[in-house]
Amino acid sequence: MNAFFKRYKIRGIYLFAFAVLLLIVLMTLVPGLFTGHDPYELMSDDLLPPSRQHLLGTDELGRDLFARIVYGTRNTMYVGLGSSLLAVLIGIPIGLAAGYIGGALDSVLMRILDAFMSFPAILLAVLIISVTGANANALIVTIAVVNFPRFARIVRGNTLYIKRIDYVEATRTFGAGRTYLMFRTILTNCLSPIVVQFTLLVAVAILIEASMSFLGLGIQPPVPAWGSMLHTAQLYLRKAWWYAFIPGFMIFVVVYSMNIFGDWLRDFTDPKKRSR
Amino acid sequence: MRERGHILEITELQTYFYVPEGVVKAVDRVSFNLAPGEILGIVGESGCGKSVTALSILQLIDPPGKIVSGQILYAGENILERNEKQMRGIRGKRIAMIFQDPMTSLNPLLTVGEQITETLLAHQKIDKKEALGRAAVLLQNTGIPDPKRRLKEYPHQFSGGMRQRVMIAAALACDPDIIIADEATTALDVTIQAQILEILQELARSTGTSVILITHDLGIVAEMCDRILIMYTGRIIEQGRTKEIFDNPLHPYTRGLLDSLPERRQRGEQLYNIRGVVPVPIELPSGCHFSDRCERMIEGTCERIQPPWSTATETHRVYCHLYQDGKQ
Repeated sequence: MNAFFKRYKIRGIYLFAFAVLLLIVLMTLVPGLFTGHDPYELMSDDLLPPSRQHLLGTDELGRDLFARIVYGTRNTMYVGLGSSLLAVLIGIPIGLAAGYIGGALDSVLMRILDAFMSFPAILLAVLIISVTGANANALIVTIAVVNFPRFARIVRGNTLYIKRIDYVEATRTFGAGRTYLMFRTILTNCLSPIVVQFTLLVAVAILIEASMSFLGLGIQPPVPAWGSMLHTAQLYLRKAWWYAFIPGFMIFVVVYSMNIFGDWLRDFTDPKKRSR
Repeated sequence: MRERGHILEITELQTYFYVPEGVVKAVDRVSFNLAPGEILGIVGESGCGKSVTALSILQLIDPPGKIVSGQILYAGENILERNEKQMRGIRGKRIAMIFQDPMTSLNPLLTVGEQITETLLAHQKIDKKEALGRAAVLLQNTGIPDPKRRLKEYPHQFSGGMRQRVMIAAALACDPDIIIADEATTALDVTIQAQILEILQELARSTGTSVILITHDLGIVAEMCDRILIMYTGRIIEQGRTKEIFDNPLHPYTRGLLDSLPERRQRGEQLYNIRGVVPVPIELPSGCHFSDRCERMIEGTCERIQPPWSTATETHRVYCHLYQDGKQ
């Protein structure tokens, strides 16, 4: 067991992060495993404290809080993962093109990215949502727009470095075209940093979703989502503090775990580690 | 020199680099031919334009470099007129190149088999299985034992010398007419160097492939090459059969290079050095580039007037004021 841990560079804190993320995956895929209650059902009295019947109590409309947290995981992760995937899909071609083709294209793309990055994220998100309306898909697009520039820069940085290595030129002398060189040769060689960045992107996305929903501009009730639960819970802080605390705590734990997971991935894929 | 039947005829090639400090004439009116099956050596110090010449043939010169003018006839066609897409039909398929550093010239994420078949599948209409079979044969020919197993391994599982064999196998994959070996053995141990060169020579002879061997090592050139070109700051200053050049070096620079070889000195004797240093490629004298270092410079002529070609024999030419039409 120890050898296994050593090989994969696992330490205590990483185990915690893995456990949390495993929990999240399960909650997303099989919420029924955790709770029998329906997150939409108005079943009991309002704002009940945690009890045997309602593990975390009820919300202001009598819905089971625990169920809403569990089913909310799916929505939160949908936005978190969806927006990150979209950011990656946009960011990779831009980063590759800017880095590999360089020249005027690079300058233009970089200035555009700079423009995006100069905007405070939340402000940009609010602007876009105010045009599109607040729902999960709009949120995905919004967060992707906010997140992709930083990601594109990282891809560009890696591209600039890799394109100078001999095997890229060698592949070119064997007749490879630009597209092949960018997407097959260079991209595959910077997958590790990209995957690491992706996990960090997801963490940021979850935070932005929570913020937006908290502002009332994200996922709207009655759809369960942690951020919007926080939004509603504001009003009841005195009467039912757990209503605000639980979703906030979930956000904190998941974002923290994703960051830790990203750190572990970075260490794990570090090329300086000895290979066989 | 027979003008007919050359696989490569380069005429007045000029490749310049436009940098903030000025214009670097990396290849300054270079002309030479390559016969089928011939092993041609391009010799010169670092920065003399050998690699840039090779890259120009494959049109791999990126900004700020530019092929300014000249003609490169490959099998009769001026390939300088080909666009990028058309050049891809030549690279790796008709003209292949091997690089200097075996540690970085193979993609670390692909198995050796994948790298060789990458080229094969790109240029030929064969399926993966057939490509792998051919790759195994190629590896075998370069002296790698147990090729089928080796094909599934990654570059980091190979030593430097073996990686160069893989490069040679990949270069020969599509049966090119010309292989350009750009300092292909410089990064290897001397004994491995000898092995690799032997393999290259043997394979070239057996397949009839021409080889352009770029190196700064005169010893290699003496062993391997049929003919030699000697370059200095972007120009060819002498060319001829290997034996001719070594027996009768005409250009003072060539003489200097040969005299600098430790083998030409006795133990305890001071080594010879060509005085001065290779000039910065931007501030070059307008006449002969070597004039300010030349022991036999003719004042008033060499540094001002471009030296003419003189022919010592049909195959031996020198670009120097000391010789007028074959006379010394």
